[in-house]
Amino acid sequence: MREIIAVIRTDATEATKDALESIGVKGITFSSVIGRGRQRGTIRTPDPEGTLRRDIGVSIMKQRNIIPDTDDPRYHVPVQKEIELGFLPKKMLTIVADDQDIPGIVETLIRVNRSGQHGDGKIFICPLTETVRIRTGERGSRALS
Amino acid sequence: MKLIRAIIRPESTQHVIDALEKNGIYAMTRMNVTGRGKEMGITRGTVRYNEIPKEMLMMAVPEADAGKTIAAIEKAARTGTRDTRNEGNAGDGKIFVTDLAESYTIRTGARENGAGQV
Repeated sequence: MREIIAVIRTDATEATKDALESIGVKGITFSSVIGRGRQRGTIRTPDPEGTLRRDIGVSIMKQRNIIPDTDDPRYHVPVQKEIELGFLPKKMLTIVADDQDIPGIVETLIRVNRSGQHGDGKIFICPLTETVRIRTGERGSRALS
Repeated sequence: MKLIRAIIRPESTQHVIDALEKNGIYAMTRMNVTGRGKEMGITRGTVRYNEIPKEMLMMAVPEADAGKTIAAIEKAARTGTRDTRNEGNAGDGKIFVTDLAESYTIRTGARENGAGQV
């Protein structure tokens, strides 16, 4: 038995629930938490007040007379602004499952929650020695099914 | 890798975060919890409070950094080290350390090898 602790984006919670249900994971504990990663809660967003920056390579193209005018807005990209927000709201899922079910659950969590942007979250897997179903007193894997 | 869960006084949270940042640990999850220790809460006059608000910090660190992380939390969360109270009071909290079998970054789907900071 292992305990999976996944910290995910709050807006991905419903999709994650549906995906886990479809692979037969029924018992999940959700908690609302706040957290940050290595970026310390930094997000990148287009800066509406920032001036447009020339795209990389435009000056080289100008030098070689490939394009006549570097002020042409078609060759500009918006300025990205980095905002440090600190701790951001996240959802934490706790799932206890048998060892053979772990790879499938991890694969599902990654598939549903992966956007490729910082802040997608982490999955932690800890060894677990015992589970007890309080209603019946069943132990171990029988307490999970 | 180790998963460290520290249950601390809410008012010492910022001190603990600052201390962890000095040790190069930025990534963590925070949650509000309630709990009690072996003192069974606190009694004020005739009223007993058996659930006391606490803050839980959760972080995954490489095995080599576990020692300094625990030491930093311990020093920052213990009362009396910054104020005039007696050092170390009931209710300062607990630190729990568990083994972390595997850890994944969802953005890349990659499994962490435990070498860098998680």
